[in-house]
Amino acid sequence: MKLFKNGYVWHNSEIRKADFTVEDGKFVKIEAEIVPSQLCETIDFSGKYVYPGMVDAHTHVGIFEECTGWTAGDDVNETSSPATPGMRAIDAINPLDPGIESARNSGFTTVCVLPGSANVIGGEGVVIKTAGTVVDKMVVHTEKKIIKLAFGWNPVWFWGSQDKSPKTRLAVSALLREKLTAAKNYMKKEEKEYDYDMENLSALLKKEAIARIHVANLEDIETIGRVAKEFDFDYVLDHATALHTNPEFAKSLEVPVILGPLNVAGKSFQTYDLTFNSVKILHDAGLKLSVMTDAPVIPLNLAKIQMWLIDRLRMDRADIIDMFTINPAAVLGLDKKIGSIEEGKDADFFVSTGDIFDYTTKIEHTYIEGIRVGGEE
Amino acid sequence: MKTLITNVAVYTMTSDPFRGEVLLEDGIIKKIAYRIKEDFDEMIDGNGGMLMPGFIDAHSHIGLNPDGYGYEYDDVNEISDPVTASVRSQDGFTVLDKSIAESARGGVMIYCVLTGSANPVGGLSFIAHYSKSNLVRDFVIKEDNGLKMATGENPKRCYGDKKKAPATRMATAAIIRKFLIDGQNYMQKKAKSAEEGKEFVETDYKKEIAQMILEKKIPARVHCHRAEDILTALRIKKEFGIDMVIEHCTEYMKVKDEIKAAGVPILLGPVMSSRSKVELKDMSFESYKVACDEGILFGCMSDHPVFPAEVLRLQAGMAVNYGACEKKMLESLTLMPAKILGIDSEYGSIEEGKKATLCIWNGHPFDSRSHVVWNSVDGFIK
Amino acid sequence: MMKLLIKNGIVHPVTSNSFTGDILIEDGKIKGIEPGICCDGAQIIDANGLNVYPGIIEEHSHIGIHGEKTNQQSDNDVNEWSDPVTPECHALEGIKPFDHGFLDALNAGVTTFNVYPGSANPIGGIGVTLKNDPSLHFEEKILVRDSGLKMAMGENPKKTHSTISKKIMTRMGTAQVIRRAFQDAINYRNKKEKEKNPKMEILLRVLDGDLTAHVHAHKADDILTIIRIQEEFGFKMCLEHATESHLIADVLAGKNIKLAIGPMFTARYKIEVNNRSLKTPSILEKAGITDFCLITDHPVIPINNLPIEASMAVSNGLSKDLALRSITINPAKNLGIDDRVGSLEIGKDADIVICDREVLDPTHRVMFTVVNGKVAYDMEKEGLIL
Repeated sequence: MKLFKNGYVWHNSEIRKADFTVEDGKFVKIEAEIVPSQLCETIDFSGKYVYPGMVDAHTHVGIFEECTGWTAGDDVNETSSPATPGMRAIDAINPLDPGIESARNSGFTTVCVLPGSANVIGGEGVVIKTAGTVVDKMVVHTEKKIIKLAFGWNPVWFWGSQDKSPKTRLAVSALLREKLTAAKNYMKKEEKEYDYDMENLSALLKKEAIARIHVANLEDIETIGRVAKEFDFDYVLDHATALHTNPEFAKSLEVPVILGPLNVAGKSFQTYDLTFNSVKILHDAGLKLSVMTDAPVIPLNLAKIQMWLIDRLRMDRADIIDMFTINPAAVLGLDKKIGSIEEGKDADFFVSTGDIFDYTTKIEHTYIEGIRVGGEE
Repeated sequence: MKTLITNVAVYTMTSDPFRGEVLLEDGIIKKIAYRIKEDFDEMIDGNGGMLMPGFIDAHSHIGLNPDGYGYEYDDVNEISDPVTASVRSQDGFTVLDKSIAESARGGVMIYCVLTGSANPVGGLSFIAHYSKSNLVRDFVIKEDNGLKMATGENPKRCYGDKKKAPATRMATAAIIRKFLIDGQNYMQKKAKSAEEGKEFVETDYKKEIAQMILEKKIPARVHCHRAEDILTALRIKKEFGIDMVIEHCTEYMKVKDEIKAAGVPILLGPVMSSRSKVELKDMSFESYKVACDEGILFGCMSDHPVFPAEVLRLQAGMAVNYGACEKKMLESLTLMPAKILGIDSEYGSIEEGKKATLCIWNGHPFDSRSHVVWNSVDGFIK
Repeated sequence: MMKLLIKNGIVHPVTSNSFTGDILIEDGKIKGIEPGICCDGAQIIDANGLNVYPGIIEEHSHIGIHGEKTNQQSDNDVNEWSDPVTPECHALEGIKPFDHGFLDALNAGVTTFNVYPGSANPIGGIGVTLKNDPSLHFEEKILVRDSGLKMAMGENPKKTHSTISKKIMTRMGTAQVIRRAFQDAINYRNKKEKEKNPKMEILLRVLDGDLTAHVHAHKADDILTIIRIQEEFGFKMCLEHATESHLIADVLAGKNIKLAIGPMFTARYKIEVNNRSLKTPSILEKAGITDFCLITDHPVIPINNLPIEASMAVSNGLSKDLALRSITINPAKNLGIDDRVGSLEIGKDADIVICDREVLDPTHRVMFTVVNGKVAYDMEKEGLIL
């Protein structure tokens, strides 16, 4: 049992002085004051701020490594075919990627690693904690499988520029429909040979998996809605760049939305509408939003810049913190396990010298399941 | 909500024009008469203008390659396989296209959006109604209403140049035939497993669409310019007993008897363009005159953005200049394309019970100086 | 006579101490800067509780030349990669005057920015410095027509020319391409009878000290190589990016070379930025180098991140004073325009940014951007644009 004393703890959407205990990697008690016992190791956080470990539900860390140049550590897109549903991100994760190190040092304790967006059907994503050397031990089990899909410009640009299908947005949805039809056949067959691709797509149709869909423009978001209705599967909108251009429609979709990366320039036609203001527009429309870095597009140690820039919208800071903690945890179906400092949850948290919206604040320690794993120098 | 349109010449398309009033209720035409003595919530004073149905452009690529966006939004042709029956133009349609508002300025309120003509078997089309919304779903009035096919130069150029089939007109016909024969085989297989009481486990997305064609649920919309291509299309129609519309139909005059005998509707145009391909050599406005004289079912089409839909009315006007019947040419922008698209129970004329997709013009639409001053989507236009 | 009075702001002139007071602007220039200025007939901005700074200056961007909110290929005119030596290319000819980047800069309080050609060529072309005044026609925005010759070392020229022109395969190749080009220029000058050669004319301007070479270099070895070449030929130089400058701070401290550091916020995709550090500015400061500026390379990272780079440098040990200088007076000095912009002083251009919080606090909002004495962005009126 460890007792962390005298910190200002982010608990129930506010910061207040509290002590908390951790045992077997879980928060046991969070109270205004806990008296140390002899069996307890006591750690003093006087004057420090304690926040729940941050969660990024959409990254490519470990499979798109930093510091390896352009190709050696790039395993993000299996571009041998535009539909690779059987690929598994876990098979390519390098736990020693400096990107993962900077993630945990900057307070991120859980990330979802997804295949890239060059393929219409990219493959299976995985959720990991950000510390460890053996990826299998870092995995956080999710109830549903995570299947990455991509709409719009990325698959069209990647495959079209090689004179292969899909060359247009028309063919992206057609390919998905064809593959899902094949998966339906596969499910119906009495005698069949095990097929990794078809198993993952069947899981989607049986709602044992959730689709995570890379999408930018509003037309494609509508197309996703049509396809999902035809084949009846659950999905999450990732990026969803233009969703805020029709907030009523966004609300009516009733699907989780992960916005970002927002702190980028050089917009193309299909990311034309990208803006930080969309966070406020969609939040005000009643959506529960998460924000992603798409790391390494924005490295996780710089995620706080997005947080600061969102703060320029002068929203409730508790809502902003939720976008980086409990909301992405909920998208992953893990909000009972991670995403906030609550009794019974994983003891994932970070300790900073001050308020996280103060730029002079340093993250001194990051803890995963009660064990210190890093912090900013 | 009741709206009275008054002080207009009503061009119903089913009768001679007359000065009168039209009463709308919740977007439906309720009453047409010289004077209407009923309560209304709103009155539209047409100021002596001409009330017409919104024009219907039965062959357009509007929204699939918006002006000025280049390759990033070029979703007209999926040139990766000569048979792409499973693609849907609706999935490529973008409301970003400026031409949507410009078309409305030219009175065009309804368009059938087709995939391009690169593939012998292209994709499914849909019918859109002008809207101010930024959602595609607010445009759609009929999904999957036809399957685009193409003959002639375009498929040859797109594939033959890459040393792939089709390199000749022969292969284009063979690819279309194979698509339909595959569909027949597929239907037989389905029937067999139904006979045996087994669940069918070989559903094929593309072949489902061939089945739709073979069962005449939707027509084949065949791009043909030259006479030989038109005859090939008619031959395929006869062999498989499918419904068909001939699109462009540039050499119509040479095969007018065969077309009349086959009873296929045609969509003529665009004629107001350059003869950029060999197969456009005999393109002429006279086609419209002949079609009027022959009394066949035809529409005047834009092929937008090949010819901008905004000025579709002037193409019809030029046909009148070549001797085509003015009344018929107005019909070729309204009731006839509605019939060809199978939406004439709701659109294409001013009749009681139909949808109020209407424009008021301050002069005849065939005169370039005329404007739409009011339409049923935007209201009065400044 | 156009008069504008900024009242009761917390004024940060950068080159002198901060105070609470007023700034009077007449005809686009700063006329007075002190507490308690009265002026009849002036338009008044109430800056009570707001922070007032000189307009922010971006020393290294590709605004307008790398078109935004548009089709990326059609409107990307950054690199003329047809040949490794293209000094006659001018950024001015590639800039789209109505590009969205101008607005991004304005909303971020950036009143002056410099645009360079890209880094695909060892000798890329000439840059231009623009005043971001939306009321001016494009040609009138030009503050310095030829702001420097863009050059490049390292991965980019190698990657580009080993595949396209096949004229460079290694870093040695890049160095020799540069050496030969300058040697050709010297030979050209010595020729008695010659036809005018636009490439050579520009290289001679660099050799004569009329144009500064702005050299893209990340790694310490690339930096040392270009210093070697610079010392051989004796031209004025500013190092752009200088990612590993903190590893050789002691060497750089003794040289008369300027530094433009950044962008600090990209992922470490390229090997040559593996050692990129948020601590670089503070290490340079400790080594006595205090004239460097920070850059975003917009649109590599968004231009509104320029003050945030300064904030991050502060949270990693840089003094606040130098952080502020590194986005105002230092880039102005670097571009040779510090007589016009970069600080709030009487007689200087009235380029002013007014924020609700300190500009180094990344949660600040830009309330007003004033360029040439005219309000060019008013947050209350136009809304927050992020």
